[in-house]
Amino acid sequence: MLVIVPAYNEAANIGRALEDLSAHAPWADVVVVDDGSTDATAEVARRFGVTVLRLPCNLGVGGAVQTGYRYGLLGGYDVAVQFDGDGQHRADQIRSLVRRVTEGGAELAVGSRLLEGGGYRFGLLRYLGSRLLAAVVSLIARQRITDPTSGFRAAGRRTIRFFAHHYPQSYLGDTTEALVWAARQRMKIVEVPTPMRPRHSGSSSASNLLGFLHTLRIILAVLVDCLEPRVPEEPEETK
Amino acid sequence: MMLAQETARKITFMQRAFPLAAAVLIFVVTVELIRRRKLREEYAMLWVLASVVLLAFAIFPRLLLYLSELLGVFYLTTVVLIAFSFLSLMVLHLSVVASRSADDVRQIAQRLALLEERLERLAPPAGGAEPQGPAPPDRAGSAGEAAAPES
Repeated sequence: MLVIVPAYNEAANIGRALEDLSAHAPWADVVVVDDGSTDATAEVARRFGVTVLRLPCNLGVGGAVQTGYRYGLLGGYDVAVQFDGDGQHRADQIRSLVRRVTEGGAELAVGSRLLEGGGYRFGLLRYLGSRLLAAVVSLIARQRITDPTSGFRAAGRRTIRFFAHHYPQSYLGDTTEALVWAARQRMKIVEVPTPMRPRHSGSSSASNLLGFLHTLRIILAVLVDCLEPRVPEEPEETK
Repeated sequence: MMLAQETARKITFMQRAFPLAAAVLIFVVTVELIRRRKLREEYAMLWVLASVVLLAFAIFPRLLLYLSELLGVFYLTTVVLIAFSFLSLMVLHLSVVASRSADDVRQIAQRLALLEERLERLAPPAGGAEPQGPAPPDRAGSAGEAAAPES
């Protein structure tokens, strides 16, 4: 099992995330994808003895996450977990997420802050935006999706291969779009309630109004995704 | 404003000088960029062509008027619209090129990161070789001196 940790200028937080991982998921291989950080993110991560992939320039979260999936594909992993380097995700939730893939037959398990047991508070505008987005994504996926922007997910073999070759690059919308892409490939998707922490430091996805505008943008991107033809998936190769 | 009205009027010095200066500037800049190999040939041809057309119209303003009569275009706005459409198409083309380049850069960056990691794993660098290429600004004095440097 592989844990993919995308990180951009997270030197202050990544240590905590990696400690969390080694405490609660010591059996997992961890790969930190340093997305062209200008701070000591890579050095801090290396001190924890994890694999660090250093991108020579900033590609955005999508590009970083995809690098992790490529690494996972090359390494022949059965399960890959996306885990943010900012300390928002909780490593003790990984087990329940992964179990849905290894035992539940899911091809993509998404950790939801909003399913029962998640209990996450947004501001009003962001709440409305996230409800709207969830409704649109649910419609496209033909199943109930409560937290499409969640970047806490576990992917099975087929999904790893698919994401290694095709991953959305849109700014801040990559998680939602990836979910829609997976749904359009008719992958089996499940949501798992996973409580998350508020971020330790730094600001994630900006203020309320900005967040709402981003949401509208993501909805537009998702609708455009529906116009695209489905991608033929690469056959599995034994490497 | 109608071009027909302007045909009757004499074209003033300023009306000639300004487009002429603009055309010459674009032409000179294009040639200079090609000379310094800052512009790829396929775009160079496009811009040379554009500046030659512009130059021709600037030197012979009557040409534009004949052309407009030939095309049956009377309103200046139509001319502006045609020019604007042309420029829009050019910019759109450049956006496509930029998107493609960004995609290439992404793939190359990802491969580089993967290969670099593999290289470090298979052949750990000996000694304290400093990374080549421009290092991120605040890495110089950071605590990472002991970590494996990349090259």
